[in-house]
Amino acid sequence: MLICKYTRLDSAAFVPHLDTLRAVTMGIRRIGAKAAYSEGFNPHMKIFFGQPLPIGVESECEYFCVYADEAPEEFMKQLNTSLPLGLRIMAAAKAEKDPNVANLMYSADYTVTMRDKVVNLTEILRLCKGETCEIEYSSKGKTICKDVRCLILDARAEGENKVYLRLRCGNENLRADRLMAYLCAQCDIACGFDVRKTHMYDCAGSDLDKLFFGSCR
Amino acid sequence: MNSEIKDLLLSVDKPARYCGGEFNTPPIKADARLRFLMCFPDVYEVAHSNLGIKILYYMLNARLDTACETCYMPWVDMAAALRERNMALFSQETHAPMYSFDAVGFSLQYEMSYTNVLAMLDLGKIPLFRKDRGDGVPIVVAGGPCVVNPMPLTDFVDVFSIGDGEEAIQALADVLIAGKQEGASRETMLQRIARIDGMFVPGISRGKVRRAVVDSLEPAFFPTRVQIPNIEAVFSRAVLEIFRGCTRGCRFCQAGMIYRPVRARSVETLKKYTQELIAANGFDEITLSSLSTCDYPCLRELLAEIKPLCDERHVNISLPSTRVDSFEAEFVASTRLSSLTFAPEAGTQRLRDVINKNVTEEDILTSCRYAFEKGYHSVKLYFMIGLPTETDEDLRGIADIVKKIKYRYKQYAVSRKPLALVVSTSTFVPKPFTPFQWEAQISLEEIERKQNLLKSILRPLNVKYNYHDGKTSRLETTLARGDERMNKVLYAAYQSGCIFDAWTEFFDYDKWMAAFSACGVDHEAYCGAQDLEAPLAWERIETGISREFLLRAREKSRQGELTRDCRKGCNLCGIHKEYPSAFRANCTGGKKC
Repeated sequence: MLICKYTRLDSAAFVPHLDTLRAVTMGIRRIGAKAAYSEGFNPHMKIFFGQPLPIGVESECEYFCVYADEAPEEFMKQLNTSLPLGLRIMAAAKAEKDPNVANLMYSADYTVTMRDKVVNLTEILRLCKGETCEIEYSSKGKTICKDVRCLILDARAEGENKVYLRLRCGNENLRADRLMAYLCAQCDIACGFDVRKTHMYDCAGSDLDKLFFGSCR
Repeated sequence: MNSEIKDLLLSVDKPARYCGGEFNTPPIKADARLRFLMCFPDVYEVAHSNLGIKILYYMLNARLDTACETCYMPWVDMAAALRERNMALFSQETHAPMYSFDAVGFSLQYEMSYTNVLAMLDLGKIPLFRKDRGDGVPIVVAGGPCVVNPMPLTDFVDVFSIGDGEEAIQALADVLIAGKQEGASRETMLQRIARIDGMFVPGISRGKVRRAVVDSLEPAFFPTRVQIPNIEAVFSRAVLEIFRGCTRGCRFCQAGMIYRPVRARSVETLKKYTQELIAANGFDEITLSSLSTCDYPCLRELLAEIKPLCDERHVNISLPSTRVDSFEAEFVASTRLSSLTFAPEAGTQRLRDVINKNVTEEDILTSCRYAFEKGYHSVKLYFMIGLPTETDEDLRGIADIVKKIKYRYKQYAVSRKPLALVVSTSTFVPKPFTPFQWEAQISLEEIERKQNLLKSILRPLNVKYNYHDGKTSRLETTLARGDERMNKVLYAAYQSGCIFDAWTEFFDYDKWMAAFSACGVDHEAYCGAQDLEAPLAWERIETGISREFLLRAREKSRQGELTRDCRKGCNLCGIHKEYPSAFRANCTGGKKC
């Protein structure tokens, strides 16, 4: 079994989770790697992904696990010739069993790049770091009001256009794009922003890279 | 991707339809002398199921001097967002606006997509009417099966490419590049295009315009590396075109007439393409595509060659199962048990003889027996209602077939599951260049009466019955047999908000009726019986199938006489005269494997 770290950047950030899975599966099929398939009427490649990313959010740290009997380095090299724009394997290693990334992920770092200089970025941080942080968003046609303070683990700013966030992910998830959209609206910041996920951690705070590959990739 | 496009994409549903970046996208040459935009007037998922535009797209991009990009009909939310932001519809690959291309080509696969062509031009900021387009505005080209009757769109389309596109597109690209280099006017360019075989240029072409036909598919380009859509296409599988055309001669079938003669690829070539399709695309299924795959003379040999290749890479072969004999049943059963599909089209042998559908009840029942013995438990049956000379007796015949299939299941089924039987009916649409091109279509009331009758007959048999909306079929006939007066109707319908007419949730019959009446055009006249003596609107085009042959076949249909399969001897349809080299290469004596 192989565990792989991959990026989802550029146009790939607009591709839904299941279609990303399909793109990777087709890539593996194209390179002719020896992957295992499920038994039964409709055999599927045995491949497992982490939890879905919101549409439009880029990531440098997604993971999947595939039952394939291949040398990791060669597999990575080959597969990188066979993936659509924005998907790229950054690391691959053998694993004894499926580490269940979806269950393991606890928190994630995000870099938010404002599209213009913002003088009151600290205002955003102040809202994040208060005793409560109630945000409002709409989901499936409903307006939802929720205190998300406990899901914000850290928030920092750099210069006039970067915000670094560490937020809970996995079972108790806070979407960085959703949080920023609400906070920007509160602070009258209209320039827009781009979100990129950069690292993921388990509940002990260990970088998933270290768990899977021994060092950060 | 710039932030303007990014924000636009974040504001719409399914942005992966528009973001580009598909795997297997060829490099788009920035310094190309010709920039061509290949358009499909339906959504991304439907467009990616079409083989025709893939052939032309990869052919153009294989040229050193040409860059071809793609564009699809945006969904209504995207169309509204583009208008709201005053942005022009753009290409997938480089997000360049439609109006910035040298030429824009549309593939017309079904009549109900015509208003989408207008919508795409409008969103792409190209003047809708060709008379309003000056130098520097893209030349608008249309191809695909619908353009055998180009008349309904002559006000909007500059050039119709009739017939096979493989040679025509190269000639078109050459003319466009030469013209551009010389600084030729639009008028001059169009005049030169009109000289290309198969090109109908409204206002310029004189006399009949002949359909372009490639003599052989063997040397013709075939794309084995295709763009993999970001979201799953309606038909997500590798497509292997094994032959073009059909020898059966079903009298209602336009494709069976306008793609003549049958041109097949060799097993050797198809094996090579299969290897390339598997290696380059990664689909888990490959379909052997043609109008009648079981008629491929070397089907057994082909399957024997490609099955090991496919098995090794976990690729399933999908085989249309219209004429399943024991061999194919065994073959299909060894891959994946899906449902078995038959298209008898008519419920009685009498009516099947009228339409020249050479399938007998015994064929179907024998195939069912084989399939049931292999474990199949699901059958789909396709029929048409409103065929010429049809009576209620023929509709009752559908129920008889259903009963017999159920009985066969009882006798031979090995599956313990109950039989799942689905009957679907569409309404007969008389199409140009078929022996039934003069026939009347049944009225809306009659369509509904027949559908209700079938419902009542099939209900006690516990089968699922699906049927097509009659209003759509009526309009389809009107547009398929339309003349130049249809241009203003189309424009009026589009102006009143008609788009996505092929989508039931958007199709608005009343708006169309209002458009007809505002333009003073009687749509009923197009659905009624056409005068056998009078010239027909689409006879401006020469498809190679002679009027005499069509009239002869029509006459035979009235006598219930069959026209033999072309492989058993020539029926003198006209191809031998109009396309002698293609005839000699493909029709003489019939191919044996």
